[in-house]
Amino acid sequence: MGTAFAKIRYVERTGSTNDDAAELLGAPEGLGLTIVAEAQDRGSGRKGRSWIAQPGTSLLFTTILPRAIPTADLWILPYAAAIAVRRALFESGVPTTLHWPNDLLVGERKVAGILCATRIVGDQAWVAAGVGINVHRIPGAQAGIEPPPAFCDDIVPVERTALLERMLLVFDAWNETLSMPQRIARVWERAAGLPGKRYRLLLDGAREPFEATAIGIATGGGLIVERAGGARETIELADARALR
Amino acid sequence: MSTEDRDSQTLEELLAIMHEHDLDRLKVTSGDAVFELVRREPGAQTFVAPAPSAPAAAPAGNAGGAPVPLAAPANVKRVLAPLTGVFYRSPSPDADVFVNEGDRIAEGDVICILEAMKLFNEIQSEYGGTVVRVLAENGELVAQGEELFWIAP
Repeated sequence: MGTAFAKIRYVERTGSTNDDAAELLGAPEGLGLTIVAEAQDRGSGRKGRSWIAQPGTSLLFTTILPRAIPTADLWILPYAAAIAVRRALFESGVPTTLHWPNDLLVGERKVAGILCATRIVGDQAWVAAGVGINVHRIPGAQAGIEPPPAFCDDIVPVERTALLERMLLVFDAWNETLSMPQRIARVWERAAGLPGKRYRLLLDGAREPFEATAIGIATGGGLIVERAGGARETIELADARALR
Repeated sequence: MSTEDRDSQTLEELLAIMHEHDLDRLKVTSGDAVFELVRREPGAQTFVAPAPSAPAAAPAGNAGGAPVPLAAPANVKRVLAPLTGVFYRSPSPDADVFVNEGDRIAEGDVICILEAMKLFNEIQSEYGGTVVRVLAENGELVAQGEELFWIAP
């Protein structure tokens, strides 16, 4: 592929592709590198939660951007990554909706998740996007995962190598759009049904969740919500579940 | 003698006692007045050049007797939070902290982690020197622009 993302390192098993990539952030050999793993022992989500994937079922990879970005624009990274993954899935025949902070859903079930890792030095940041996509459903293998996940196979047969290639081509285009954070935020809002989507939110450190209408993404990455009664606030850290 | 003069004289006497006995904290109640003096954390003073803006002790009687926030001395580089997130001093809960007050660090050393939604950020120091102060609490949400560390050359 004639892209800045042509370097691919495949590993059978690793702790976490994000941890592996984090060690290479800022190093010349890491620029544009994608690390793909068949299985992860310590794949993670927010607050150290594990990302469970049976070998052979998922596309798990972390891509390091081929350049540093301004630290001031970092907040847009997870949203930009979600849009790119959504685009690649759409081109593969799997339409998804976005869910704050940045899960990808088929119906109400999660098909993909993103966790980004960065290394910040002053006003420059080296960044990597870690992506996990459920591709092949193996009967019985998903028992016990709550809430139940979705798989690309549920919609259309998808080949993981082809999906990765498509993903990296989209990243090549996406790389340029990172310099336009406000535009990315507006695209993300549309793809997530904002304004107007109802969420149940549990703020970090709080005991009781509350329901609110999501309005948009604030500069800085927070979710602007409106509570019953019309009071608006920006949510920085919370667990979120979309309501019907 | 006015109340202010008397308080000022008392403070000077208490300061002298603190220095004489090398005390970090001193609290004295006299009638309605409470004098609470807190010296900067141990080790911090060693690295700070004489700095009129940073008193060695802060008179209290303010909310909860908490030490008055100190202004960074002129020779200190301030490391600010580059984005809003939760401040972590170590890579995982059971790991050693990246840096302690008093540690020498080199430019480029990782000094903390800031975790935002779906964004895990390692912060490297732009400056080499000595960590004079760690200003944020582990596990605390810090806002963009908030002071995290003071580094003295």
